[in-house]
Amino acid sequence: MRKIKSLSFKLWFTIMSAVILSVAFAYSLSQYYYKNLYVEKVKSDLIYEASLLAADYAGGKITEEYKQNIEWFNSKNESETFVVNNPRELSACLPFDIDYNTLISEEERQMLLEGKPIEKEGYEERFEKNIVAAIIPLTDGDRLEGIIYTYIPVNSITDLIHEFAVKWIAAAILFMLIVMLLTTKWLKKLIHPIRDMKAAAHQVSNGDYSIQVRVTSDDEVGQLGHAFNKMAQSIHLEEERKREFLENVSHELRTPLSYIKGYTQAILDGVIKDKEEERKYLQLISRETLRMQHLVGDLMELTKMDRKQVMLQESPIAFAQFIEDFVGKYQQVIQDKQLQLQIELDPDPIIMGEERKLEQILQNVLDNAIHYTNAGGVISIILKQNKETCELSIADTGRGIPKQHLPYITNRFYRVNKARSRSDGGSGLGLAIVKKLVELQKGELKIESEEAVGTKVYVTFPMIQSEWL
Amino acid sequence: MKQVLFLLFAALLLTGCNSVTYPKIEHDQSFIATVNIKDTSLTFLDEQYKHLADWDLSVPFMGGLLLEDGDTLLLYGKDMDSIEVFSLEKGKQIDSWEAKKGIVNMKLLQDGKSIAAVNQSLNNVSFYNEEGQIEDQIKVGKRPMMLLQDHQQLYVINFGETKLSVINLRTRKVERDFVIQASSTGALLREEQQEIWLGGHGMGAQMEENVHIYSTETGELKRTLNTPIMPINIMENAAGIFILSHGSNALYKVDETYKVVKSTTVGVNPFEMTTVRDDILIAGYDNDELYVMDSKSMKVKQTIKVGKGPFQMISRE
Repeated sequence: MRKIKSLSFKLWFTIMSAVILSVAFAYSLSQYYYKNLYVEKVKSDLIYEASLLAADYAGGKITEEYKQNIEWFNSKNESETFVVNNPRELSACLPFDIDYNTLISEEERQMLLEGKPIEKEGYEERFEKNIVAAIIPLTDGDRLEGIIYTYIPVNSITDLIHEFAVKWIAAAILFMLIVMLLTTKWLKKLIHPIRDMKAAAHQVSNGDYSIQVRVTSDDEVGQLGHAFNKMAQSIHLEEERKREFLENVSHELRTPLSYIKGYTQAILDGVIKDKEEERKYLQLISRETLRMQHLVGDLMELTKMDRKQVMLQESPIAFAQFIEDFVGKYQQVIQDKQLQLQIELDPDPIIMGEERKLEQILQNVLDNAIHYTNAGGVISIILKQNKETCELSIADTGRGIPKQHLPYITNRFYRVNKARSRSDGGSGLGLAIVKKLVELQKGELKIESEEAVGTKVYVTFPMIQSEWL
Repeated sequence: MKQVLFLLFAALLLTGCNSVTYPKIEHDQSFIATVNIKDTSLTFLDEQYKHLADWDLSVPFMGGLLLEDGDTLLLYGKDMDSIEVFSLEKGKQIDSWEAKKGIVNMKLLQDGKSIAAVNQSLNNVSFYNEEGQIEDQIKVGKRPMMLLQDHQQLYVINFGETKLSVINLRTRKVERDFVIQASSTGALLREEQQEIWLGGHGMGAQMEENVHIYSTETGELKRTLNTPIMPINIMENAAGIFILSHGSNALYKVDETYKVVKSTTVGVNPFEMTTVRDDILIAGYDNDELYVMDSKSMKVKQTIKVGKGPFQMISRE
């Protein structure tokens, strides 16, 4: 039952049905044509033969010599040929009801009188057999003096057709056996990768994502194999990411938690005697709690963006003005860190965006720039206008990002410094959030960096087109 | 009111359908007509054998009979279950007589009133009066075909039996019968010589080659005349006795001494022969031509194209 339901059986059944039907159709067609063409050929041969004999008739009464000539011809020929000049046989006595089964009917006589030959096919009572016959009139003026009647028994034709049919059927059976064998082999080969995929899918469903099917063809099945492999790979990768993410989250939470736990325990145990020291401990606890709060807040924001639950409240923004206002807030920090700030803003670009989100982007990028640039370094902010976009670049002369880390720098929790020291770096989510926010506002993020030279962050946004308004 | 109008309209239509007319043949016009059975038509020729009229009918008739008045024409056929009555002068059908299928021959008897009809399916002879009512029906031999009459007797030649039935016209009963050859057809009654001449087609594949002459008195075969092949029409006029054989398209002339004095080939499968004045008219069934021959010289004077399958001739002088 399972075998009958299988795709390979269905395909095999379809192909074999089509082959059998085609063979049956071809057989009936060939039978039809063979019979008809052959019978037609016999008829025309008989007519031709009888016409040649009739050409020897010179008119007048049919002579004994002529009859003998025809008899001689008959003795040398496969077909039965004879002359009839008995008017009774030629239906001359009709319309009298003469109670005699004539050789030709009244209608045939009429045709013969008009000089037309007659072809016959079917059972002839006179000869008690099925025949194919031709009748040619022997006329003298208007008078039907006689006829040449020539016929071949149909048995000889059916024998021929029978012989033909036997050979044909034998060839057809051989052909079908070969087709069956080849089809079965070919289908096995065709179905094999699908079977492999089925087994692989089972393994995937059992949690083994490393499975890969062997792709041997380039057809739809091969493409399906490739797609399957890709899918398994993606699931595998996603699973890895999920695991890594959970690891990261727990790791990130564990560090502040252990601080909090340690400091709290110290206070509770009364290890801390000094009020000032206690306050310092409480400040540390508060800092770690804040860090956790930020971490959770960032995670929630990223999750929202992933689920596309963020509704942007966009409005046209004069980008240069916006940047200038925002950077104003950082003047003090920059001065404190003894950095040099260079600003070069094209005043024209107007973009569509949400101010709060843009602020978040600028804040994250600028925080990083300030954080990783040592005193005396330069931070330059440049806004340029292209054809349909505007490009904001924030460059620093900080330590830069090693080349091998650059492709992953926007991944969640990715850190160049794996040690995750408190002083060096934040949650590892900052650039991931920036990337998401930029993309959310139809922009692009590009980061260029050279170790010990500095980092350049490019943010490109489409400018407002007149047709948007 | 609407129904009445509809009925009137229907009646008009029906009467309209019934009144098919044909070219009229004037009462004083002499004619010779061929009864053409292949296309069921009548071809009328005048005394000069000029074309007079064609009647193209749609009934499967085998023959026709002109009644004493010279105007009423009866048409009958083996497959017809009525006898259709036409008026030549009016050029239309005037009546239809009830009949059973199977009528192959009809004859107007010498009284000018009684009509004998031979029914091959019922093997009988029916006597009709002028009004088309059957007066008598007399059972005869198998498949009767020809009728001959002398003043007292009607000779019925049975095609399907080697028997000639003689009906007494006074008593209207079969009085006697005598043996004749098989499949007889074509007959001549010579009252004075008390002999009856019979031709025929022959039996099976055997073709008849002789005319048999029987005594009407004794029924005895008096002699045979070799007139091949298949003599099926015999006629006598002032020039002699003529025998027409359709199998060989031959016309034989026989003198008083029963000798074939002349023979010629004429027509194409001819069945019918009649005499008009000094002429012999022969109809070629296969080539639809009427041959006009001189009785004495037996030379064809003229041929006239007629309808398809001329099988019988009717004349009015």
